[in-house]
Amino acid sequence: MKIGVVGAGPSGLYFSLLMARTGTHDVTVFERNPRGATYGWGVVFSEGTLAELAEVDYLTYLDLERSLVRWSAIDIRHHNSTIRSHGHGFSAISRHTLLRVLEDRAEELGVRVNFETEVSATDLGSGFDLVVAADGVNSELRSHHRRAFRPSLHEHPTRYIWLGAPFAFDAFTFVFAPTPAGLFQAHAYPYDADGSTFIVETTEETWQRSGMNDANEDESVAFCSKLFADHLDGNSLRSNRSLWNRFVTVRTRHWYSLEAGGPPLVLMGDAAHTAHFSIGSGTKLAMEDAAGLYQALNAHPENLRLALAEYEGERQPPVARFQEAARDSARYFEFVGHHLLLDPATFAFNLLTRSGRVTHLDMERRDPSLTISADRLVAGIDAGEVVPPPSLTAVNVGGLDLPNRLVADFGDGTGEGLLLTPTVAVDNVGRSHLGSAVAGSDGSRYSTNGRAVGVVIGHAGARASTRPPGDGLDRPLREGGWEPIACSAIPYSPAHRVPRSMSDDDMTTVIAAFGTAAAWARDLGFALLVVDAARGGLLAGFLSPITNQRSDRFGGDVNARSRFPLEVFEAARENWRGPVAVRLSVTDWIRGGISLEDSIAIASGFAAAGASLVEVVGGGTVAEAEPGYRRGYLISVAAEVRQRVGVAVLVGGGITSRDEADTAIAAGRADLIRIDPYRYRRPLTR
Amino acid sequence: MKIGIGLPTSIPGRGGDGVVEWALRAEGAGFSSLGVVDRVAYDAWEPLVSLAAAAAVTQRVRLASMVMIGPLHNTALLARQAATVDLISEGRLTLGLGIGARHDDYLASGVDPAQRGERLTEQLARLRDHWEDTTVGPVPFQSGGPDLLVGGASGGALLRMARLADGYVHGGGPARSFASAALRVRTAWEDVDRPGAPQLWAQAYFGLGNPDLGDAYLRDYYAFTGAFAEKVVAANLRNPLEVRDYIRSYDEAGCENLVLLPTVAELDEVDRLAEVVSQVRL
Repeated sequence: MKIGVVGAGPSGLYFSLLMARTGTHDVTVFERNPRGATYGWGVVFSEGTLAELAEVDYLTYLDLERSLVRWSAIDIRHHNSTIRSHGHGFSAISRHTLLRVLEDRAEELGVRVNFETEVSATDLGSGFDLVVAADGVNSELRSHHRRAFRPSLHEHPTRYIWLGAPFAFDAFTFVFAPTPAGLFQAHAYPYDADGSTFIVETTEETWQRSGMNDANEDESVAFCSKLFADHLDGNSLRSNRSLWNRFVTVRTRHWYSLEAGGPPLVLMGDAAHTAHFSIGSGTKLAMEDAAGLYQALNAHPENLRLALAEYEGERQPPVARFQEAARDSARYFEFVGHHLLLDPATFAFNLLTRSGRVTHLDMERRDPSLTISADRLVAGIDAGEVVPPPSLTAVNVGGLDLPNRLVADFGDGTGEGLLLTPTVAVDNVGRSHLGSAVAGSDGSRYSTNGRAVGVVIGHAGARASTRPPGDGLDRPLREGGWEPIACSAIPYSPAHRVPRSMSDDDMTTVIAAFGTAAAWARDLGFALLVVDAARGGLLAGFLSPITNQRSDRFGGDVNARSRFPLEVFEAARENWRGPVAVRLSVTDWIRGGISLEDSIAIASGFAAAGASLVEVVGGGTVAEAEPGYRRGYLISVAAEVRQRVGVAVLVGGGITSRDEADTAIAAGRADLIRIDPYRYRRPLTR
Repeated sequence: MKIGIGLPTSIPGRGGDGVVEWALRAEGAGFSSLGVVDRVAYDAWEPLVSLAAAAAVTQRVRLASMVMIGPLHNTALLARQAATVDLISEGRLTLGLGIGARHDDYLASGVDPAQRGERLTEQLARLRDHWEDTTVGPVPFQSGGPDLLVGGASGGALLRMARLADGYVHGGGPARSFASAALRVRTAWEDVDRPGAPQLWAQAYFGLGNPDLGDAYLRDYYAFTGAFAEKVVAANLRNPLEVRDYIRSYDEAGCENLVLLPTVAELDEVDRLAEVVSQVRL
C-alpha cells in the first residue's frame, strides 16, 4: 500500500515505521517544520503504554527505554508542607529525544520523511492508497473535511503556560501557590537527567487580576520563576515560545472518511482527540492510535474499510474514557482552591483520586501509608489503632451518632448506618399519588428496630395527583384527582393539570403542614428529619428559576427564591428535636436552570437555618431534561457544597461499590454515601 | 441471563412459512424470547403483525419488539395492536419502543421527525393510560399492559426510560459498553426515585452457517449509516466461539435478556445457534 502521512509527530512517525517494517508498504511523511524543531519539553508514559510499545516494536522500545526517566513519587506542596505519595510508577522522555529516536528508526526502515514540506488537503489527491492525518491539534485536514469527521472543540476556562525547568524534579510535583490575585498551581515532572516540564495553570479571573493577560513571553517566565522560586533551587524557568493559552479538547465523531474526494483519510493522535494536560496522556494516546491503526491494517490487508472500522471501533472507547477522566481532572483544577482547606493528607488523597481512575483500593495498594493517614482523619482514630475503611467508620451528624457512613432506602439494606423513608407527604394535597404515605397516618410501618431511620417529609407540588409510580411516573390521575398547588401556575408536563399558584393562605397552610408533619415524625421516634426540597416538588419549585416565575418577594434572585422553602424548613425544625437535613436538586439539567453558584447559595441558606446535612440530588425540576448520568456523577458538586458551605453532605448516583464510597469519603468529598440501591432489588416483571 | 433469538422478519428472502416455522423451532429449542426489529423503508415485515403470527403457534416463548419506532404510530392504535398481541399470546408481549435512527422511515410514513423524542415520551405515558382505562379496547392480558422497554442511552432517553418504561434495550456492541450503559440506566432509575429496578435487555447479530451472507445483509440493512455499517459488520458473531464469548461477557456485565438476531434467514440457523447456546454454562 502507498501511504501518505501528514505530520512527523510521535504518532505519525511511529505509525510510519511500523508499516514500513512489514516491508510491503511504501510510506512518505510530510512535515511542515524543520527537523529537530519541537515545541514542548517532555512526555509521560504509563507502564501499560510501555508494555504495549515493547510488544509492538521491540527495537524502538529499546531505543526509547534507554532515554526514559522513571520515578514513582508524587509530591503535593501547599501550606508550606510537602506530602510525598509513593507507588505511582511514571516514565517520561524528552519530546526531542522521542522524536529523534522515531525519526532514526523510521528512516532506517525506509520511510521518506520530508521536513519543511507543507501539504494541503488538495495536494494529497491521488498517488496514495491511504492518507493519515497526524497533523496535530490544529489539523488542517480535519478542518478541511470537518463534515466527514464532525469534530467538536471545547476550550477550557483556565489559562496555562508550558515551561521548562533546567533540573530534574525527583517526583511528579504539584505546587499550589496562593497570591493576592488568586491561586496558581504548577504541574512539574522530569523528562531527563537535567530537565523538567513545568506547566503553570490558573483561573481566568486570577490570570487577569495578576496582570498576566498583558504580559509578554519574558514577563510571563519571570513572573512564574519568581512565584515558584522556593521550588526551583535557584534556577529560572525556561520558555520555548511559551504563551498563556486555554487548553482545547478535540473530539471527533468519525476518525476516517472514505468519501473525502481522494484516497481514504484517517485521523490519528491530537488530530482526532486531545485530553487535558493534567492527566498527561496526549502522546501516550497518540502512539497507541498508531499501534492500533497498524494492527487493524495488518489484520485486514485485503479490506481497508473493515480495517478502518476496526481501528475506530478499538480506539474510540479507551480514548473516550481518557477524555472523560481528563475532563474531570481539568474541572478539578478549575476549583482546586476550594479544597485547599482540607487537611494536607486528605487533600493529597483528594488530588490523587481526582480523575476517578484511581480509587481507595488502588491507593491502599500504591501508598498504604498516605491512605491510612487519610483514613485516620476520617475516623478520628490515633496511630496504633485499627482503622476501618472510611465508609464503615462511625460519624456524628448534628448530634446523631451513626455506626457507619452508608445510607439505604428503608426496607432495603444490610447494615447501612442510616435508612431513609420514601417521601411522606405533609398533607393530602401534597401526595404524589393515592398510595403516598401522609404525615399523621399510622406510622407503625416504620419500625426502626434500633437502627437510625430518617424520615423524609415533602410536598409533591406540581407533581401531585398522579397514578402509582410502579407503572411510570407523572401520569396524572383522570378520576379522583385533585388540583395541585405550586410556586407558579406551570404544569409539570403537558399531561399534568395546571397547578394553582400559591396564595398567601396556601403558604400558611403548607408551613403549618410541615410543622405538624415534623411533630408527627418526632413522636414516632425517627432519628433524623429530612425536608425534601428536590426533584420538582413544591419546595424545589420555588428554588429553580425555571419553575419560579413569581414577582412577589418569593421570586427573583436566589435569595428570594429560597425565602419560602426556608420558612417551611424553620417551621419543621421548630417541631423537631435533633438534627434536620435538607434534600436539594443541585442542577436542573437544562439551560437556564439552577447554577452551581445558586446551589451553593441555597445550601448555605439551609445550613444557616440549622441544616446539619445536605442530601445532594439532581434534576426532576421539569419532565424532559438531559441529565449527565455516569459513575458518581453528583460527587464533584457534592464536594463543592461540602467545602464551600461547610456542611455535611450525603450523595448517591451511579455509585456501585463500597470502594467508590471509601474514595469519596477519604478524599473529603462527602460524609455519607448512598450506594446503588439496585443491589438489593430485582426488576418487577409481570 | 435468558437468551432469545430474533425472527428473520427483516431479512429479504424469508418466506411466510419460514418465519412461522422459525418461531416454532426457536420455542422448541428452548430460547426464552423471540425478538423483532423495525424498519419501514426496507424490505422488512411489520413487527407486531409478525409477533401475532408467532404468538399463534407458540405457547411459552416471550415476544419482544427491539425496538419499534414508536412515533410513527398513532398511539391509540398502537395500544390496541399491542393489547391484541398480548391477548393472543396470553401475556407474552414485551413492547420495546424507540425513536429509530432513520429519517427515511419518517418520510415514508408521512410523519414529521421533529420532536420525536418528546412524542415518544408522551406516547409511553398514553399507552399505559389506554391499557388501564377502558375507552380504547381491548384490555391487555397482562395487568397494566405489556412491559415497556426503551432504547437509547443519551441522558434524555434514559430519563424517559426511567420515568415511563420498565427497562432498557441496548443496541449492540461490546459488553463493556453495555456495562457502562447499564450503570447509567440504574443511575437514571435511582435519580427519578422510581420503585423497583429496571429490566436490562440487549441484542447482537449472528450468522453461523454462512457468515459472509450475513455480513452482506448487515452492510445493506445499515447502508444508511455510512461508515457505521462496517462497525455493525465487524461485530457480527460469525462462529460458535464468538457467540459463546459474547454471551458470557454480557452475562457478566449484568444483562438479563440477550436476544441474538439472525442475519441469514435459513431455518438451520436456529438449530446452529441453539447448539452453541446449549454449550454455554452461565
